[in-house]
Amino acid sequence: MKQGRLSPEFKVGILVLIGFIILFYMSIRIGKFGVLSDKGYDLMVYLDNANGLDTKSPVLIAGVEVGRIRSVKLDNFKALVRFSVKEGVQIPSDSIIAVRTQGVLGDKYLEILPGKEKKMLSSGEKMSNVLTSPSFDEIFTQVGTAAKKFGDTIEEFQGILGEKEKAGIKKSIDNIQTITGEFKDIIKDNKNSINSVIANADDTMKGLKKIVTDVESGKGSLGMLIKDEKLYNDAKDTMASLKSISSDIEQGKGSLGKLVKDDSLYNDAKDTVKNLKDITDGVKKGEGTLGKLAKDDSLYVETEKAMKKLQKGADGISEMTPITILGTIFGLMF
Amino acid sequence: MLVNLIKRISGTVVYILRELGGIGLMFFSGVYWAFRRPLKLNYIFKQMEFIGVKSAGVVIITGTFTGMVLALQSYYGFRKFGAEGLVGTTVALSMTRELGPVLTSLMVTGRAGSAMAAELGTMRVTEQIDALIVMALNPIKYLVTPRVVASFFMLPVLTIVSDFVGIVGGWLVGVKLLGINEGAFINKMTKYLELDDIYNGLVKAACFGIILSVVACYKGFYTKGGAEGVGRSTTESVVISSVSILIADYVLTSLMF
Repeated sequence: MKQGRLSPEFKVGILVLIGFIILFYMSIRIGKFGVLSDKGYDLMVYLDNANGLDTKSPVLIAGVEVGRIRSVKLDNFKALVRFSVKEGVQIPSDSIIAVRTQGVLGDKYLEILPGKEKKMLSSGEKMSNVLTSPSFDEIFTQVGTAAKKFGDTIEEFQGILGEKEKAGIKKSIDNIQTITGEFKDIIKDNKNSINSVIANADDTMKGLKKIVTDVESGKGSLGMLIKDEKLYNDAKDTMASLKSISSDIEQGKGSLGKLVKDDSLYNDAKDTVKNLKDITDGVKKGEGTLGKLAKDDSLYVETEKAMKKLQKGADGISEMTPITILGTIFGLMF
Repeated sequence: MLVNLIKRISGTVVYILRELGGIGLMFFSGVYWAFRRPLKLNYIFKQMEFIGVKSAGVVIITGTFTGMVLALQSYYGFRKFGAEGLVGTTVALSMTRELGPVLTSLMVTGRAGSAMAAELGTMRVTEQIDALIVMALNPIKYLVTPRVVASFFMLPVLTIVSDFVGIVGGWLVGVKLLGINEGAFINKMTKYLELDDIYNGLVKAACFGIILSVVACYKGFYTKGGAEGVGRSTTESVVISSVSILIADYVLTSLMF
């Protein structure tokens, strides 16, 4: 009676037991029994964008799961995310919270970057430091806008460029090519000269540098000029003397001062000029000896006559020159 | 000819509606009598043994191979973008949400549903059901209710077994045969598998159990036409049950997930 011992109830019981054991085992492995996660405490955070965050999304610190999101609600146009943290995990009050993405499926989770504060967050507190990272949507939007602008610019550019301009640009490019080619040739040909020029320039710069250093340290005339105060002092003294002289002149002291300031000399000069004028007037009118001399030509005639006579006399003298020489010798002897 | 066509169409419509109504009535009376004392527990356990325990072997074999082939197929897909670790997730999700309940129900339909229809059909044809009525015994309460109740309870049990062996089969193929990282396989599976996936699968299985048992009982209960009629009822019960299960699967899935 084997059949009798294994009753239908017994067989069904075994099957159902197996079913429950499997169900229990799988539930444990999935590990989403609410009993364990009730221990611990809740924290809250306001997020600008809770896209992808869901109830039961994990909360990680350094990649280790420390809690799960309990709820995501809209509060005052921000997402209020409430999450649980395991008992025994303490979070400093200045910790930063960030929404991160994981895996090929793009799962979102909350990452807590622990702070250094001694004070720990307690149940029900709100975390305020949120690290915002731009979402893919935002990035793509920005990239899209940039790409569109770029496209517009290119289009505008294309609009500006007619066939003529294109030809011109082509020609310019050709020219540039030619120029660079020539330039290259020049450089090639004059490589040594260029090198020497550069070397000279180098030397010159060195010399200049030395001069500048010398001037700096007060060596040489220029250095002295720049560095030595003596010249300046001399110039200053000179200026002072000049100033005192000019002030003396101003006050009418000394000859120059008198000359400048005293008008008696001027008056004398004026009188003299006046007298001179009287005299010249007299001369003009033929008054006095000088006047007559100037005006009366009788003197000139007389003189001319006398000169003629003298001429005749001189001619006679030249005929008698030997006698004269004798006379002279006699004159010397006696 | 047109009249004939209309007659045919209307005849078909009326037939379908009558079948639907009959199945509905069978369901309600079966469930109704389940809550009326005295509850015939020994009948129920007998049916549970027949539907549940004796189908377990078939269900385990189909479940295991389904999981194995799932692992094999998804592996070739995921390997293309280096996400082999997700094979476990795919196997677990597919098994718990879809293939576990549906394949188990179809197997039970084929094995136990057909047997129910044939059994009741034979009883009808040999006038045993009439004899029960003559003896003032409610044939629904004695024949239909135990089968419906047994199916309702056994299908989820068979489904959870199927889920488990399916995942184990997937693990065997994925980790042992194809060499997927075992840690990734298990962790990704437990990470993405929710308890709701399993529960909803079991709820689906219970619904399928009611569908297959009610359809089979209805087809068997109203069999006509001797031995040939029994054969026809059996075939029809299997076809209608299977189609109804797949349609109901879609509806239930869209409602649940």
